[in-house]
Amino acid sequence: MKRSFAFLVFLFATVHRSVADTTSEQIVNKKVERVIDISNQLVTITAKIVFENVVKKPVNTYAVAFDDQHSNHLSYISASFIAADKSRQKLQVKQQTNSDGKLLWIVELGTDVKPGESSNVLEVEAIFTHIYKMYPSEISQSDRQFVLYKESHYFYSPYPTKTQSTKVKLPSSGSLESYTKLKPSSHADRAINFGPYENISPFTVSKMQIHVENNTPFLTVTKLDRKVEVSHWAGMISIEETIDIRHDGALLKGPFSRYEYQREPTNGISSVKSFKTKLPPTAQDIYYRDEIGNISTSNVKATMNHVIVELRPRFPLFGGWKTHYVLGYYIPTQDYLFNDGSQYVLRIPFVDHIFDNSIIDDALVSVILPEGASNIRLILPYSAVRERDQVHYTYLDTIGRPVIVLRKSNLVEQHIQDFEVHYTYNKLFMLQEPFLIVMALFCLCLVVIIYVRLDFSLTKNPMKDSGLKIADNSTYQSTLKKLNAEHKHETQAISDLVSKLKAEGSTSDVLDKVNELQRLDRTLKEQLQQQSTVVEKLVSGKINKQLYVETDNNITKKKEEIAEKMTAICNSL
Amino acid sequence: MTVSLPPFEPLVPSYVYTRLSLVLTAVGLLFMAMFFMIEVTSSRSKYVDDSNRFHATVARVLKEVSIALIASTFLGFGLLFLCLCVGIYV
Repeated sequence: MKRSFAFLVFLFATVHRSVADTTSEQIVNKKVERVIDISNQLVTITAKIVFENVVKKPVNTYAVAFDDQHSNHLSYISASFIAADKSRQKLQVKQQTNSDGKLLWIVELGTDVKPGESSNVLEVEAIFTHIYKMYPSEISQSDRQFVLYKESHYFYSPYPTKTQSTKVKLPSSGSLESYTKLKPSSHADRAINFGPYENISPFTVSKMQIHVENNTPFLTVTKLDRKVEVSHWAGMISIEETIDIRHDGALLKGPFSRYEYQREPTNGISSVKSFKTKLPPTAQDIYYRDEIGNISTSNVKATMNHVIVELRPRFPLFGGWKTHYVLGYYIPTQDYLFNDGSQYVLRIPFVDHIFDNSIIDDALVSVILPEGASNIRLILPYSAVRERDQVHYTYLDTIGRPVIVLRKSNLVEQHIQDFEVHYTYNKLFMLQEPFLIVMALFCLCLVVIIYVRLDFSLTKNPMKDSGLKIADNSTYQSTLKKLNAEHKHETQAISDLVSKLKAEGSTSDVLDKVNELQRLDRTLKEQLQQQSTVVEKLVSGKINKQLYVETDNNITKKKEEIAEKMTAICNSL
Repeated sequence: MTVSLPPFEPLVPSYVYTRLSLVLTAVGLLFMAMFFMIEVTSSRSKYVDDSNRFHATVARVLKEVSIALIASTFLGFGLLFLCLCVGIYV
């Protein structure tokens, strides 16, 4: 009874699986060679698989699976066919969730594997981050760092595997504490070999555990803020990376002694003193600074393919310690920006090298395009979240520069791949920047032109008073005319009287006196005329005030003299 | 994925920034100096007749504006290239 029940369960399980995943029964792994690299903070599993199609239909996909722990920590996966002449053919990999909730990575083979035939060697490379367990999790300054790694002895696959072997690459130095010895297995010079194991059914797990010393840098970029700014005027791309780094190894227990650290070279062996960042070969004007300014303990070395910057934080990084810095540089556009008319393409790495075997937990990439760029289109080598577009304001901007913001988490060095930003840009927009300066200067000039024409003085300006006199000029002229006419009329009357006197036969004495009066009157009139000319001259600015005052005084004196004489004659009459 | 396009060439090659900024700024400053000389030494109320005075003022303002325009154009472009040659990539 018990046996038949077990058989029923087995039957049901088989039926269920075949319904859930039709591909699982089509393929048999003939030979699998796995290499698990645990020599640094990343775990790289490379599996070389030769499989056979055992059904009557041709197959064109192959499913790759990992256990739950590995699935959650997978950062990068790639697959390729290796032909007999060792040439590689890259294949597409798609993530897919099976009906029973299991994550599968489906490799598109590109070609059909015919019934009964074996495939070429399929190489699947997968990189995992944050998968080690620090054991012990806390160490003191002089201790070494040990990690615990758990996997399965068997290749985890949805297909049965005929024969398989696994090689585990250990760190280049340090002791191997323990490992699970599932026979046949051997430990040889920095590597452990497991297998060959024969005829393993799908999804079989046999716990493998390796406890090994690993003092390689355990650095994680917890936050990367990468800003790429394009300048069309300068033909330069500025790149600035704000980086937060944390040492993710075993935490430091107890105090830190700088003395011990300097004295013994093996002290603080798991700590990180410095690291090298590879920049593009054309990088220039590199700057490296943290919260309190420039860090001078950095070196730059130019090589053929890279500019290598050796960055040394202000303190060595121990387990759990963090640092924050800004690294910036400029690169000429020649290798990165392409254009045809008004169509532009910016082709630049999504992330760049920060240190070897790096892990980037969260990357935020902003591309700042020139002001006026439109029709922005992105081509990404892998999926990334596109955040809301932003506007950036910098030198000589009016409407602001469009900013594309992309976010992706859990990145490794294999993600250093170019992405493309296509945009349209009218060259006339370039003139906007110089015209902004021109307009500012011109406005300043206009203000000056207006300013010199305004009068802000509190006291009365003599120049302004003379202006008022000019306004009275016409009244003055008309009054003068009237007076002249009256004078003429009176003189005429006097002359008439004189001729009457002559006719009546007056004494020559009286006549002489009247004639004398008339002569004096003429002189007086001349003097008056002179005075009026002088005043006019002064008003029009032909003579200065000093001269006017003198001339005026002279004329007034003469006038007084003549007036006295005239009064004397009149009295004697 | 990749479209092959010719590489982008900046409007003005970077090696002429320094010379361009020197020449343009010098010319710009010259005109600017001229403009300010005119502004500082100008005197008003020379013109007795009203209609003459208006025409003369318009002529003078036009002259000042045109000098200002020349000065600010040269100085504006000169300053832009100055920014570029000192590493402020606008």
